Amino acid sequence: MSATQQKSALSRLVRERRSIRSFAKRDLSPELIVELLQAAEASVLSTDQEPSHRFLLLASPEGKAKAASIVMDAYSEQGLYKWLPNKLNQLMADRIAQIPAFLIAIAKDRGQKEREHATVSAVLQSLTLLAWEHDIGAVWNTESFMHKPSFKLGVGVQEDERIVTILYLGYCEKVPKTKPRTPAEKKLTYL
Amino acid sequence: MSILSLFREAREVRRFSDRPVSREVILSILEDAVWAPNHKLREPWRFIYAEGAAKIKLTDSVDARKHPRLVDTLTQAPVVLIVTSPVNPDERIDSDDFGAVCCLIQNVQMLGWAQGLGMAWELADYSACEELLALAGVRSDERIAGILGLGFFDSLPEKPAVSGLDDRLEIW
Repeated sequence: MSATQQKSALSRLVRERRSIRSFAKRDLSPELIVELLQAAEASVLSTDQEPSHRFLLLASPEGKAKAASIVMDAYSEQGLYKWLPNKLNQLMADRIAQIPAFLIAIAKDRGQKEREHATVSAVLQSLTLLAWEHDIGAVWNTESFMHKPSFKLGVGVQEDERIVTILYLGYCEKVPKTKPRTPAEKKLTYL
Repeated sequence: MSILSLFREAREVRRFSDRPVSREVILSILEDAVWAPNHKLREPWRFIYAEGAAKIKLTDSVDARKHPRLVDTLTQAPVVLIVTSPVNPDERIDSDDFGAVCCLIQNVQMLGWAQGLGMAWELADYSACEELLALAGVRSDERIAGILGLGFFDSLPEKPAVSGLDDRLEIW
């Protein structure tokens, strides 16, 4: 791809990317995700600091089932289980099965919370753009179960770590419509 | 045919050429960048643009001993773009908005890189830089998500060797 082609391809990817919440029933290769994640990190990280973040990728049915049971344990803490527990189990298991992959982004607390959050966010945005080129969609998820101690314990998040976000990933079946964005010019002040 | 190489080769730029940067170039990058993901379409970003005399004023307002890296970027880059996100008492909204603005900044990084424009992304605790905040017009209900130094460059900085993903990726 020439530089000019890359420039217009990137512009198109940035504009056309949509947050995707429902996915095609198509297998997602963990190897592909790893390759894209490596390139995403390359676009963000510098030698200034050792990265203080890491990832857990749930891509196999077994891995996702393991995570599902951890989530359900987390909800049962709250007593949500009293109401139709089997139905809830099934709904949760179905929902998780429908999402081809989960990428959990974990950051170690090194006293620079904002910088760490920024780095992880930038890596995930690069990943999202690279994935979109393959018709793989993503959405960020910051649901409350992520902050529950039993969930964190279950997926191996340490005392001095926190979950920044969980990216849901999968092939996009249908691209949702979106509203137009406010022109950048309207949000720009010249000093 | 892929943009993979664009991402693999991208890097921070801290030394820039004299080539003038037009407002149109930056604006066209921002018009793409605002397509960053953001919750409930809150579009939580705001941009403050400084160049020339205005940029010098901002630079002089910062104590180089406290923020050497920032002063270096402010001095070297032809254009400075401060990007803010709103402060929200709801921690989740606050955090979501900050993340969205960071996604936008990463869009700026990559869109700029694709046209030979380099970027340095400064982010630290600037809450004590009262003069800078006042000059830039950053409100008390805003936080700085990045002070970006932007410009064309002649010589490509070395690609940093970063720690591999192997030790930091677990797959279930």
